[in-house]
Amino acid sequence: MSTVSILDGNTFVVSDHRGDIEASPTDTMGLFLNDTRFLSRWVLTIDGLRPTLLSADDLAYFRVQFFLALATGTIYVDSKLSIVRRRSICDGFREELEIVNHDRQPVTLKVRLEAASDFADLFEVKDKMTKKGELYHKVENGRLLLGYKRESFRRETIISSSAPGEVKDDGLSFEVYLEPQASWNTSIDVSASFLRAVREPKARPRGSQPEGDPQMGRDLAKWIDEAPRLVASWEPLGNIYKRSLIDLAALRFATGIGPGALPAAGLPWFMAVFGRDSLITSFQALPFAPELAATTLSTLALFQGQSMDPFRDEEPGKIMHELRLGELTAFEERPHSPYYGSADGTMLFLILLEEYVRWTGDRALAQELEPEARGAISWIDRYGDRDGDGYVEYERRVAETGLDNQCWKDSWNSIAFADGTIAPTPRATCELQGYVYDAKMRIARLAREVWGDPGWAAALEQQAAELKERFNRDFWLPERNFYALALDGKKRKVDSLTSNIGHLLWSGIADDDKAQSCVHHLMGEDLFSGWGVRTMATSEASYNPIGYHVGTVWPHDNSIIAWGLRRYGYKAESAMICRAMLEAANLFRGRLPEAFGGYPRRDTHYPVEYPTACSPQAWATGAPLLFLRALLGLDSDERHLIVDPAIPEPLGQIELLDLPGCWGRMDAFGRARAVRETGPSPIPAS
Amino acid sequence: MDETEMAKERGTAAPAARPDERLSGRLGIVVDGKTVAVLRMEGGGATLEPGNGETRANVHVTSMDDLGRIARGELNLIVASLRGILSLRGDLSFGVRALRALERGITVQGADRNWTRNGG
Repeated sequence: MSTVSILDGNTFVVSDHRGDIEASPTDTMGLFLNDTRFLSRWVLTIDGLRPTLLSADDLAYFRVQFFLALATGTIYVDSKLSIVRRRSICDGFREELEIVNHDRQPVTLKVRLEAASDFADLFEVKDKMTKKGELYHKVENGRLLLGYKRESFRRETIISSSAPGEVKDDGLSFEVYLEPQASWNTSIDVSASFLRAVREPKARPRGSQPEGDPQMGRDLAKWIDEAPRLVASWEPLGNIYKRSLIDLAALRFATGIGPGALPAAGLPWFMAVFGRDSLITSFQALPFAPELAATTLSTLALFQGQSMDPFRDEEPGKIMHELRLGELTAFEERPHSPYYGSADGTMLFLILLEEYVRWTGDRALAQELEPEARGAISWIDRYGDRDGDGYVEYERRVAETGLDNQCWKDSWNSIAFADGTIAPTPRATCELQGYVYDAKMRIARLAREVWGDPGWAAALEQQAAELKERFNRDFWLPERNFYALALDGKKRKVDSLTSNIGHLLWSGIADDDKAQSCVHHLMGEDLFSGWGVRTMATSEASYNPIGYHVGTVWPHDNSIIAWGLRRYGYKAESAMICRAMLEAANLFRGRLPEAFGGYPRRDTHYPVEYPTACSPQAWATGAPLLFLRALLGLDSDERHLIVDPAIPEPLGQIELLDLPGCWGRMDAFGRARAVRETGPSPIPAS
Repeated sequence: MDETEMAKERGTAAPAARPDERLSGRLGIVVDGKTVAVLRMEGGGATLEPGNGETRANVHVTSMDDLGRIARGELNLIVASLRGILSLRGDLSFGVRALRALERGITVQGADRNWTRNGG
């Protein structure tokens, strides 16, 4: 069923197009905060009838209005009642309900809002689990209180109305008398409460923030105002850019531990702090909103691994994967407190740190995070490389709760041989080695230029050079002319053709001659669908155009590949991917989803939706920003803004005004030229 | 020796991280609404002191043993917070850092054996 969502950080409401919530145990309708569903039923009836939808309008990511009417059952009799539900989010939500009588006669109505909560943990929704604690409800001081208790874990939903009504265990009812042309309205607050066993000073109840909505409006206006201004001759680009900025604003997640916010990963399943997702999104958004990177780095540093904990896949120096705040985490039935099961987050942390410093010139943050950076490098060498073969590999320590795949393609079947056989663990995927190379090169620069440790810098550069040499020897598949997806647990090369080779260009680990072959494959028909590079080539046995990591097209993946192509000088190929993805974004009404089908463009003409894709999803939201960076060739040497445009003809002229960076604010311009003619490295003919 | 232990023994270690001298301040420990002790963080070390006075942050717990369980590695900080048996007020960044240090097993001067892993 199509749904309407409003959100702010990790608080979100998903309803149907009438504004009603009728959650089943296995879908994501409801009011969610901190990974818990605080409202699972919210149904409006008038005289026992469900109003029908006239229109539902997303006014902002945190506010929606539903225009409804009471159907008469025939087109010959007009509805005499208008109903408007205006809903805005805070630490719960507020709903303004207005009913207008258009009749010449007065009317008496029975208005009812049914309410219930199952207090499901998001994982219980996702994995179809049942609850272990006790649900309760009561009416107290004219408010409806829905609650859940399991030992000292207590959560409550409090529902109150500004208009007097009858409050029962299952909802609120109002007797409404309306004169002709008169209106009635009430304001209903649904607020979430986290009760604690510990005695502490009384805090303001969550959800009691009548000023929340206008404040969020001002905050969004400021966010948009402070971002660089885009002027583009290809009109859809402006819409895509604005959509990205607004979705990024919506996904910002303030932990409350320090100032600022970092991007949560995506609606609805991943509205939480994720190491990998927050790091990559912050990287994509760096030229546009560098403050996201600073908060992401500081927050992840705070939770850097510090002990050996197999349940959480935690090791000293490792950057966390995912932090969850629901019941299953509280009772350690899930390891997300936080969970450390990603092998790439630690390297991405180091990469973002150097990129952030180079872009902003904020060396103070690098000084502050030096111990964490050293700890992260130490993790790579001591724990990331589990068996001493010189490569980072992963294998979960607890089979019941750990992630089988701890790279970005984290579904169970993503790391497969060309014949479809799943590779045994531990798995050393190729992009992990690229990230190690890049991280060590970048941290060497910080060690030399910021931390005053040239000896360590030289050692890191030496280690990176040695890694590059052995990687180009051990991962190369001479018979297929690309890099193996991984080395498996028996050190065999996993020989399927995947988008991962594009990440090797981003990291710089590929030898130039081998990079050229990889570009040939990336832009060939087996990988490039016409909309973007598929996660897995059509030539492989596991390929499925709607397989999550084995054939779909992921916008964030493509943004990294496009930026990697720029690194090796393949401007035309980079521009081709940017253009195709932006054209896809336009057909998705400006918002790229997490992933979409890998069907060939020439067959479908429209990008085909992937059924359960998150939207908005942070790194898909960030992808157009990195495409813009790639098209304009934006970079920094920690003093100057570097602009080196390569814009394909249909995109015309692009101007980005007031780009923030170590230079203050600068403008960047680019216009279309025949970039293929100026590209340094033509692709060999197939 | 398991694989992890072997991994610890192997590899090129980065130069040792310097002591976390960023962590400086007093964390009040509040039980039943009363400050019963203060954890003073300074120069990479920690000292448990009686009394109250000015603090950067306060941790509210149901009993002193909650903190002992964190120090012994028996209670995860996030789990304790989600289950409502611990909450922080004040400078949360400092408070989390101090409690994470405790969770890491930092030696706390002035604490009894119950705050030591393996009973000291």
